[in-house]
This record gives sequence, structure tokens and C-alpha cells, in this order.
Amino acid sequence: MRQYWKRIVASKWLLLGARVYLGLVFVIASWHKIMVPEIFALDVATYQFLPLWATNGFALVLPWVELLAGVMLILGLRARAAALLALCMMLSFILALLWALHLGLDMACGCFASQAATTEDPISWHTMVRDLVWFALALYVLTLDQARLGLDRIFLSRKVSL
Amino acid sequence: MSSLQGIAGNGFTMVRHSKVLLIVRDAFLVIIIATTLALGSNAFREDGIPLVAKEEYTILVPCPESMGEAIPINADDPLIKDPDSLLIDVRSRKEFDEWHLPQALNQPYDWLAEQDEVDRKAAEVAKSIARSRKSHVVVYGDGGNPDAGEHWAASLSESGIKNVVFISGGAGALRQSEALNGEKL
Repeated sequence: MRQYWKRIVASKWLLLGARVYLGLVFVIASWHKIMVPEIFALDVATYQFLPLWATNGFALVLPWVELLAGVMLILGLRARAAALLALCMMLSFILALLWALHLGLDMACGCFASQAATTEDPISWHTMVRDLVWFALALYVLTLDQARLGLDRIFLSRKVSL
Repeated sequence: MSSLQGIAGNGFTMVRHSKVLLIVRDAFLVIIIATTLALGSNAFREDGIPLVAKEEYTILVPCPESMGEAIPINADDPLIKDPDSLLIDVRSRKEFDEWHLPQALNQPYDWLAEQDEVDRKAAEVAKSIARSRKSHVVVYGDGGNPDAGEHWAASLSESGIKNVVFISGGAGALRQSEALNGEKL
């Protein structure tokens, strides 16, 4: 019975599903941040989490890391490295959310669209649970992905045949 | 035999360590590529942002502590035309339909409501204001005595909204200013 569950959890198709889902989440989340960095910088500042000197740099670089990690997860290219990045990003988002909830800031999360564009995604414990689920997914891919489906597999088999 | 097992065990640990190191190395490479792309695309954008912000961002979110009283402004104050100002008209729906400032939101103030109800409503409006990302809130009522605009502004301020002002003299003063200046506000 235990072996059965082990096989299910480590199934390459389940891992592929988790990878593609997580990848899509990151690609979609990165898009508006790359398109309007000035608005995302304001969103970052609203969290009152980073010092002023770090706000713009963070707002510029983070969306590109999200995009690259997302694409790598979808394609299965260095998926575990991408999962490690996703894990670190989710951890920082969770800490920022905790900080905002601790301060009692009543604001939109700014995760998928700028706060100016939406009133539908306020930060709450629901947002926290959602982020924790994505954190767990990133951990799942990081620990169990064996590159059985994706570009890594193709590159590895080429290396072996060479 | 045990020494062989020890060597095999050490070898296995080294392989695992090298795998972890490879994953960390790849992650760092991605960060370097992302930083290059971010800085490069920002440099080529017309509306690129400075790498280090020079001024504090104006953040308009309700904070738990009270931000103080609302401030009165005149009907010709430039804040009224500022695109970063959120305009709130607190007169009745009928008065609002007859005349209001362009872009103003109607949020009628109910004089007969209990204070708890007013505070609850103000907290709700405060949420939508916080998400509007405007830097100022300009409230106006009918300009009477007492003035609904002033009361609403005070309630919003007590809800923790920063930068709330109300127009002294309300809609009457605004229309007078409009007539004097010969231009629509």
C-alpha cells in the first residue's frame, strides 16, 4: 500500500502536471510586472517590506526571474533549479504577506495584476493559504522531479549517446 | 567490508552534494540572466524606472493608527484637478445627477445613520480608496452647516486613510469657482 502511494506521488505525469501548473502561475504573474514596472515598484513599496533603495531593483529583476523560472518549469529545462527559485520566491512572498497582515495593511495583493487594475485580490489569510500551496508544489518538484519528461531528458539522453 | 561500505556511503553523499551544488549554480545563473534582461530592457524603455528610487513612494493605504483630521481646501485648489486625486461627492444621488465634478464618485452621506453604520461604510469606502492607488482623496458635500463633506472626510481619516481633504463650501463653492473662472472644473 505504501509502495503504491509512493509510486503515485513520484509519478512522472503528476510531476509534469505540477511543474506546468506552477510554471504557468509564474509566467502569468510576471507579465504585468514586466509591462508596467513603475506600477509594480509602487506595489512593492506599498508592502513597506524593503528599504527605498532596494525597491526599484527588486521590482525590475523579480518579474524576469519569475518569467524564466516559469518557462523552465513548463519546458522541463533545469526544472529543479527553477523549482528552487520558485520556492525562494514563494517564501519571500509569504513573508511579505505576513508582514502586511501584521501591519494591518488593507490592500490588493498585486500578485497577478497591479493594485490599480484590480480590487478583486485583497490580501488575506486566503492569499496566504494559496501561496503555501504553491510553496508546497515548488518543494514537491524540487525534491522529486527526476527530469523524466521535458527538455532535460532530451539533453541527458543526447549526452549519454555521445 | 565496513570500510568499503564507508567509501560507498561517502561517494553517495558526494554525488548528492554535487547535485545540490549544480541546482544552486543553475539557479544563480538564472538570476544573473534575469538581472541582465531586466536592466537591459529597462535601459531601452522610454518609461524605464531609475534603479534606485530618489523619492519616497506616496502610499495610500489604511493603517491601524488614526491619521488625524481632514484638512479643508478652497474650491480653486489645484488638488481638485490633479489626476492623482480621488474625488468623492457625498451629496444625495439626485443632487449628484444634477451636477458633479467629472470623475467624481457618489457616496451619499446618511445623516440619520447610526455612527457605527457610518464608520462601517467609511471602512468599506476606505478599502476601495486604498486600492485605487490615488495619492489624495478630495471629498465634497453641499457645503452646508454641518457639512456632509467634512464629516465624510473625518470618517475616512479615522479609518486610517492618509491625505484626505474636503472642499470648504462644498458643491456650491465649486460651482461658484467654475462660474468665476469661466471654465468647467
